[in-house]
Amino acid sequence: MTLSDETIYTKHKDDLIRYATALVGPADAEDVLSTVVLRILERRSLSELDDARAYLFRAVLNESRGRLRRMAPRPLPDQPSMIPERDFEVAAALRRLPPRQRAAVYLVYWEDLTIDDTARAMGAGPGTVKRYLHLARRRLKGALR
Amino acid sequence: MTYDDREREQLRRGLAVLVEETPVAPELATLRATPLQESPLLRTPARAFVTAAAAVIVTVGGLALLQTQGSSTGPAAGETVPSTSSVAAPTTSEMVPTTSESVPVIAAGELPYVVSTLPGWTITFVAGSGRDQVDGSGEHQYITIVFGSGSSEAELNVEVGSDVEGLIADREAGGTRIEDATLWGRSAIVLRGDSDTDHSAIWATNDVVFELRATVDEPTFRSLLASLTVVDREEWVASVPDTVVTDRAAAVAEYLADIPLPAGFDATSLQSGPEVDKYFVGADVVAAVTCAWIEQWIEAKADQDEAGIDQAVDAMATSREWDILNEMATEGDFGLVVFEYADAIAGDGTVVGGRVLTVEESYRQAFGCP
Repeated sequence: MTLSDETIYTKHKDDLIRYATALVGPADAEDVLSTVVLRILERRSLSELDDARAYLFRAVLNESRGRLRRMAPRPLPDQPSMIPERDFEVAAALRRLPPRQRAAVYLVYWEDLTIDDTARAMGAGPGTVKRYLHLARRRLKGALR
Repeated sequence: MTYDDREREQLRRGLAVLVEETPVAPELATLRATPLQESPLLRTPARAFVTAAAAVIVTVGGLALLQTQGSSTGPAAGETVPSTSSVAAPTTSEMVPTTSESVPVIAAGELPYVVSTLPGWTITFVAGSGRDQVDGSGEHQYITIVFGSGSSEAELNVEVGSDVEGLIADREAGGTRIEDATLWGRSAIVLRGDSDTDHSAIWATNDVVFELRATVDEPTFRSLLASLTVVDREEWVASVPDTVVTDRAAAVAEYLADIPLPAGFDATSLQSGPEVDKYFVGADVVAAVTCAWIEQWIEAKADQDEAGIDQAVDAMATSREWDILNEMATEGDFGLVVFEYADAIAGDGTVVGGRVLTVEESYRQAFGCP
């Protein structure tokens, strides 16, 4: 049975916009998602994709990376009073990671994906994903003290 | 381990902060009603604050694993999805030797030793596995060599038996093909991503597929590509950092010294494989042992062989004391996966991977078991 674009998109949209938020922040996440989906739909139906979910995750990462390169660095938000200081520090350290490292950390530690699934979602090899995690670990070491 | 329980929880709480203001995703009908050029759309953020811990529980518990089997198409990493394709998809027929000049001999099924002769560029990291990461068949050996020069990095991915045409189609979906290069007497397809400093090249010899990716300008990329040279093992070993295991057989014997092994365990296949960072050799060794113990556990369960079950459970219960896993702890999270399965076979036989999974249905993918 072939699923409709509506069904496929609806199934994954919440995960995708959360992923985009982790990569570019809440102010740009919706725009990233809409750009990605509309561009794909200009060319093909989501149902034509072998693995629409992985494809969409990869497209969101790619679009996010492009935007982060083009946009001026944004100051980190002020710490809301209700967020514990330590959590905010870790979040700030995560925001400072290069996008692909942040994506790998998010997919493995938030989405609980395996290395292989993370690799597919990022369009990279398993070894590359492990390297991103390794490099991210080094950068996060101070925040996770 | 890379992250202990406290660090992992802290990391998840930090991730929860990152995504706590996630906007509500628009419906598809809303997207379609808005021309692409007129973005951004009206935003309707869900500002309701939830605590980080609660967000972790809801999100981690509520998400399913990616369903990703069999995909070979998609946007390339580092590249946006273009609205049109600017060039026709190349085929492997375009990768035939272009000259009769001396070219490196790369045997089918073998990962070659590659260095860069471009001044300032050295090997900084080597990842890889002699084991198939998907089904453990060993038919998809891969290696990733990272070259560094100052703050610039390039990575060369080499894989045996992968689908080069699928890779090219995948990369072309999100990039623009520019002028081909000639390397090792063969043509290499060169692509530019979504910026002037995002380049990749793909070429193949026999069943070995190469992809060089770097975020550098085109002249530097082409110089780097042209500088890639296949050398003999001795020269390559002299070019890699100390973290790379160059005597794999000795390393395997050392790692296995304090690990209980099931009857008939054969370490021979572990002694061959690419020279990679210690972490990856250790992962290969521990994965092979873990696969063997879990398989004994599964068979013993089916046979109602209580002694066989206990032996496997007891052996895996020692995993937290395995020296190699403790050494690997500073580099990555592989140990956590081992411990999770050790606990699972000692407990209710399930692990959590986005949803509750049985050991039987998940261990092969977790450890690349055959």
